[in-house]
Amino acid sequence: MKKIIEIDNISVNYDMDEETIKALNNVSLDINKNEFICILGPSGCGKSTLLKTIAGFIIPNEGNIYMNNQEIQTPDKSRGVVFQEPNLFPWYTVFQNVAIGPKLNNRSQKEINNICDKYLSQVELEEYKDSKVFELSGGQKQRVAIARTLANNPEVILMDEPFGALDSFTRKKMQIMIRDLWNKNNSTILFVTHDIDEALLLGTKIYVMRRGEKSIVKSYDIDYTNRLINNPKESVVKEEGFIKLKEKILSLLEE
Amino acid sequence: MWFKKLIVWLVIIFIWFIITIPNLNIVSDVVVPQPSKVFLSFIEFLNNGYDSKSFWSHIGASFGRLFLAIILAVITAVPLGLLCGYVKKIETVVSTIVEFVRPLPPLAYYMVLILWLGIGNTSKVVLLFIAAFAPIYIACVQAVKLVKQDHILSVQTLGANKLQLFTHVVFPSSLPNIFTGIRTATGVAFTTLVSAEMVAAVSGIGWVILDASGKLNSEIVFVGIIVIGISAILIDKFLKFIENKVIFWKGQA
Repeated sequence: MKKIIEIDNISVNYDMDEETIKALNNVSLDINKNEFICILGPSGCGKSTLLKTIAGFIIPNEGNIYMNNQEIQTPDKSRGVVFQEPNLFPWYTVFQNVAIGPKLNNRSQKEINNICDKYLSQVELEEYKDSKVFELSGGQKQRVAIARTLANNPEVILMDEPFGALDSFTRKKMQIMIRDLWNKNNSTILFVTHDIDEALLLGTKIYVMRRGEKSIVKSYDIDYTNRLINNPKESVVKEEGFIKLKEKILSLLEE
Repeated sequence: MWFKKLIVWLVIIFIWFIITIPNLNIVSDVVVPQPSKVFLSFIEFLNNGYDSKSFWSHIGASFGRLFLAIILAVITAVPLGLLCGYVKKIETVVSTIVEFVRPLPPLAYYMVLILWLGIGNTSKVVLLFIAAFAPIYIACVQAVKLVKQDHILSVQTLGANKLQLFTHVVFPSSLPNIFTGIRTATGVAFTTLVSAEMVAAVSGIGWVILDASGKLNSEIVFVGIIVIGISAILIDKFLKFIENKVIFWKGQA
């Protein structure tokens, strides 16, 4: 497996008025091609900070972070980000939002059309291509945001609790869709969530985070997502192994 | 809503009508002229003009000054304001000046402008330009600072450089605030215009009011005030209409 991102013992501090808050402590991990990594932890454990550091929004106070052996210093198009809020541009239509990435990279109009059609159909929104984004529902908006990121064909997709603001029914459908997109496009995804089921059902690898001297406390290689791709009807959540693993992670988080 | 406003106006006109009935002797005809006489004066003004100039040339003189000044203010204050939203050092210089000029009553520095530029059209246009500049400039500086951080980050992760960041995100995000600034500026410039015409001019609706009051022609004074009030409402409605067309996403998402 090709290593894309290497995180080497990074720490991030936030300077508040008088005290320094340690948001992220001594994190090391690699992201390899085609992995679906889930970062799981409660609010305030630093998981969003980790994602922002990988994206290049924050420079770590200690340690280094590399992408293809180059140090990450600013955000760029090789690492796409899907935020918890869709962050679509309301002055553009659905199509124009998805087209931004290819347009910024000077693709021809024909290529732009092909790319947009492809990813809008992958997120099942072809018929909404000329809609204004504020006319869409929350789930549809987030699908446009995902298509916008995919259209840019980034090497790594970083997702910061992308389904956190959605109702549970829409959330389930989005989970199936993102697993499918990951599989279809051979993407590499780092997915931040506080939902244990979501992490177990989507990831090929889970990192469990919590507050403390070492932010990442444990990692697990899992395979439920691949099994669900092969057999979507399989009810893995009722398996003993799944339930046991869930309990183990829960007790880790409660320590 | 318009129906309730109509009732308010009908009541006001009705009261006006009652207090000016000649036999009741409530107010003198010079202080408050009868609605019918004001209306006839308006028709007369429309047909024959005032002081050898037609109604429309007075309106045109006023609006010409107003629009020229607003256009000048928009093409200078918008780029400068947006730039100052980006570059702190330039903002410090420009804002220091703007903060001093903005609270000054325009008529105070109008005297300086008359000394420099004479009593012709130029001094009036410059006066209105200065009055309109500050609200637009301030709105633009604010607008840049209020751009959603996550929008900026989103477009950066899609590969935007600084110029593309501006055209795709900062400028469209700023448009609603820029428009609010332009509407405020137009209001300020309009009130300044009428006052300036009362100080020194030979045409324009403000001058008509001043001249008529000197001749104790209160009907024309009333006509002038009503014309100004209606024009102000129409200008704002027009700007709102344009705003709704251009910034169709305002208040959404």
